Amino acid sequence: MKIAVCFKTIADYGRLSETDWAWDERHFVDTSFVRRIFNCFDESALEMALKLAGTSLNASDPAELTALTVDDRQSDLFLKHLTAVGYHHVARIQCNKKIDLRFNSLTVSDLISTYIKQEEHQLVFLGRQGGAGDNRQTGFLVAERLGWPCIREVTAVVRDESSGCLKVTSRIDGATLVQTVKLPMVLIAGHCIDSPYLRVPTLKQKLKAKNKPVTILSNTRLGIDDDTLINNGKTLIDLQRPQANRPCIFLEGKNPREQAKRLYAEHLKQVFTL
Amino acid sequence: MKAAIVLSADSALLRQQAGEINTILNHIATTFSRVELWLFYQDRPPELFPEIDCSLSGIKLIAVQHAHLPESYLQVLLDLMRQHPVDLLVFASDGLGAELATRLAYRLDGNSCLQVEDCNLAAGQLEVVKPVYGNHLAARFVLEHPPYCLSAAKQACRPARMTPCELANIEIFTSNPPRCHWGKTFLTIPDQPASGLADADLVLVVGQGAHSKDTVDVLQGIANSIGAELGASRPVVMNAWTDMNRLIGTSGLIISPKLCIVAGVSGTGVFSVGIKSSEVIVAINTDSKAPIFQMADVGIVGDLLAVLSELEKVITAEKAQKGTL
Repeated sequence: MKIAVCFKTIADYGRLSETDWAWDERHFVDTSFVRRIFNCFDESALEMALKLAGTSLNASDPAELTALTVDDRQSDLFLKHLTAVGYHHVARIQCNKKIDLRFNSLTVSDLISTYIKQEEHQLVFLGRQGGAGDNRQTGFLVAERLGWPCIREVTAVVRDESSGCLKVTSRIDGATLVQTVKLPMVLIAGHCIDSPYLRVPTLKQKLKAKNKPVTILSNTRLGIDDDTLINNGKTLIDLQRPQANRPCIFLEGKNPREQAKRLYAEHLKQVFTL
Repeated sequence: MKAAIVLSADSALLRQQAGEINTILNHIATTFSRVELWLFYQDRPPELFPEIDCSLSGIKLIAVQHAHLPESYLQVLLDLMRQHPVDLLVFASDGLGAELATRLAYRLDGNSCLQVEDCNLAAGQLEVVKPVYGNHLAARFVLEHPPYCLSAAKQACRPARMTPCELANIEIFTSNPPRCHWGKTFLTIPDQPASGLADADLVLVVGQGAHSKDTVDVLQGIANSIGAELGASRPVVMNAWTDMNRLIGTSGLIISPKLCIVAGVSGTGVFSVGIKSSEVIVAINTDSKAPIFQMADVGIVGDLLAVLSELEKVITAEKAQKGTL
């Protein structure tokens, strides 16, 4: 069973201060000075796939894991991390840096689905949303381009050995849905409480992974030229910083008791007597 | 412009979802030459309908079998678009709405955008506003050509009223069940009844600053004691320190209580959306530069457990004095 997990790394936006939210003429925000992290939904997808592979070691068709990202060299450290924790292959699709893919799920899904077809994977995992664009569409579009079914908001996946199928747990409106499904399939990870974080590699695993290569592909090698990459259904006009600020009054006090008393007397008493 | 609003009558969030759609259509409702409500249902046709803030030309009720399969919805929507084409389809803010908007636009060679907070017509083109960069910024896009498929953003709004329909123009459609070659079995497990969090007047929201399940359990006790519902940020529910149905933010609940006490939450964009319509926000955090203070009316720099324990004592004493304990 060939499994591809598509992920994205993002800047840790929580570390940007108010004045950092500025952009250039191309509407790019400079986030180069803050650390990068796995997008949280992708991180769950990556861990879910590792768990699935771990339970199928003795299966007749053991899992072969590939981690795939569409990004530049800033993702290479993350790809090394994924090799260390057990991904058999890691690949990065590098596109012309002048082309803005932040808000272009159509093109990103084209690149991913072309790779999936070429490598003949049967299962694709993605996180539900993330990154600068917060588009939330890539998984659905990968499914459409491949002509495969997809399940959204997936929270757990296990192998059902008796039927050769997967048992997929997902969230739908007001309920949890458990389905036994055949491959091929696209799974879109939601809030996975059982796999919230990616495992951490040991030093030995890191050293072993150090010299394993990262496969770097260009869009042209996938048969997609730069003109096609530009295709998008929407054009960005401007960015705005929402103004939701309130004039925060800080309550000082000698100790928590005094702060709590002031909070109640000056601000909460009225609410509690309503 | 012809438009259709697509909702599911069986959704527990129907009133909220219709309210969100009313909010985003506010600026373009007058430009519609025709607008219909396309309402899916499973077992029995609905008797009450959400009020839409524009003059409805008709309602199409669509019986859907196998409600867990998006294909059930997509097939009938494709049929409807062939028979009754519209320029704009607006879907709910939930996962189903996002999936249908994206996949339908792809199949119809139209354009889609999700989490739309506002839209407008400018020089004959549809402009939409949606959150980007983890809700820290809002982006304005022009969509190239119809059919446009949008899903609404989750945001605080006035939930739509449910009323009987006075329109004579109600049509009932049935969809043929799609061929599902990939699904072998399925089981649906309904959620536990919802807590009162969504409609509570007083909410205590805890974040990663709680550091452990034990502390969250103590904070749950304090919330009970002062008459508040407990909410949580994403790290708290992902660490299983409390239930997922207490998640506040774009992925969880959008709340508008009279008083929201936010303790140990840094205040990311995706979280802030969930509480920004609260009447009064009190933030408690050890970091005086935490972004949460920018959206708070009152701030306390200090240890959340120490401050909240003292606040509990003050409120309990006050209640005892008034004889309301």
